[in-house]
Amino acid sequence: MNALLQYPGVTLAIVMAVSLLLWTVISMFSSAWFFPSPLATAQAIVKLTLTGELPHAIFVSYFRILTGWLIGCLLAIPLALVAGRTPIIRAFVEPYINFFRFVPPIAFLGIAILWFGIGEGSKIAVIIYTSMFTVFMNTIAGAMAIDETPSRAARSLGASRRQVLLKVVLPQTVPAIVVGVRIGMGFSFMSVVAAELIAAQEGVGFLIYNARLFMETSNAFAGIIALGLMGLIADRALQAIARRLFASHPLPF
Amino acid sequence: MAQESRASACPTSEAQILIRAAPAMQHAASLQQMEKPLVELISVNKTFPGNRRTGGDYCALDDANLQIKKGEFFCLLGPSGCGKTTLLNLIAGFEAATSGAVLVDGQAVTGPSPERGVIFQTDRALFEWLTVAQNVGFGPGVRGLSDLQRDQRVEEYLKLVGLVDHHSKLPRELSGGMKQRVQIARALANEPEILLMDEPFAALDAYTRGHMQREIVRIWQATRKTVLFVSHDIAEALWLADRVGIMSRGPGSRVGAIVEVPLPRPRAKMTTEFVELFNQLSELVDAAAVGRYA
Repeated sequence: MNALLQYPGVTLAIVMAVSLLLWTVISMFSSAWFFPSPLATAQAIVKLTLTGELPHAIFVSYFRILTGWLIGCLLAIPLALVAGRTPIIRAFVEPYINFFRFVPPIAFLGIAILWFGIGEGSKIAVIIYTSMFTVFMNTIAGAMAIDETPSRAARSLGASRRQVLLKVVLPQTVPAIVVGVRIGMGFSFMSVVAAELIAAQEGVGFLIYNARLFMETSNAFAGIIALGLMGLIADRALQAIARRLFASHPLPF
Repeated sequence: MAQESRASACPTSEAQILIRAAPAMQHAASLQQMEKPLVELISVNKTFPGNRRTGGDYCALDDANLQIKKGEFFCLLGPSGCGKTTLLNLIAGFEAATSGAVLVDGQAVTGPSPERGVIFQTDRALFEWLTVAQNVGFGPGVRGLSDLQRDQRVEEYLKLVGLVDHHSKLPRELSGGMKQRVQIARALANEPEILLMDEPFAALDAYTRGHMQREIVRIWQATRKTVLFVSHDIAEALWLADRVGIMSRGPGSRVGAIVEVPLPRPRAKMTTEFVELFNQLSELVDAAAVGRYA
């Protein structure tokens, strides 16, 4: 069996074949509106693609996720780096973090709608909140755990505190930051769908919720498959970019 | 309360330090007429504050005095945990003395300076995301030298340590000995007055260590830097140093006997004089290793 490990394509093919088979068998014992078959789902994907509903929903959700996630990363990384290296700043920031980490992003949706309106603003705000936390926690943990020796070396080579932070601490924290932004991206997907389920007129989450309302269960399945693929593609793209940007860093993938 | 616990950690009370400091000052003044030491420690105490787990404060150095002359190769010898690294960190400026004076060129040390290059025991001190050439060019780069000057220094010092052919490699692609060469070149690229070396070859295998010991003497003779070399290896001290200072075991250690090493260079063989000096140093180290408060 372990010989299969050398052929990741084969294991993937087996997983897909078994899933499709199980899915088909289960759907045979049920009706299409309750548990649609792979074929019905495929038909729904084609139909929704041709009408443009699915591509539009994907575009809208991607836009919300990537905008919110990017802003969240840009806010969290510098703050976490400084807080990780400056105990006094950390002491003032940590109580907020420790309090709000138990408040799920979706709990803020109602308030976000009140503050930022029913449109894109409220969804993006929720994503920013989501990704900021994950990225902040990972970056601060990374910045606190780094080896001090390179920083000392840099200072004895004439680097200022600012240069040490940007040229030594930041590169040392890169692996932790990359892990943080990856996990943050995953959580952003969850948040956007939750937000779209509750209050939206478009997006993949809305498409899934709407399908349920009209008992078009195959459309909901199509939306779920689209979400899985969207996440997979985004994660792979992120990995590829990270490997390119940080070719000389030891990355955990 | 803090004062009391500090006093109990370091048996030398502050009053005594003041009394001791006076003759030390006179001594420094008389030396100044002959030859001004480049590095000077006068009655240095270093106490690390204790925490709930360790209990009281820990006194690493108690009334440590040391003078290093310009251009000499000085080796600080002593058992593990005797405060050698603490002493080096004080001169490097990574830590501040609790009391006493740490002077370089007559100026009190207030922090790290590119005039005092440091070579660390661990090769993690290298910037592992930068190439060999970028590591060596780091100092000239942050100090604002032109790209041309920086590249010239990188080439010059990579040539000196024999790593020109490896300039575009990452540290993780190098052997242990090569990584320490990069550290040496990186420190030298700033053209510092002093090199502070903290057991730089302790993690290398015996063959590589011997090779690097000959290399560092060659580099020292080529650059004529003042070197403070910390070691726990008596033979290493004898291969390298003009003078060897022996530190007593902590807590409360200080620099005890200072031994001149009159062996001619290059010191390639185990001569009778070498063995005699080795035995003499061994006895001094053994005597110092008992500890002052034992």
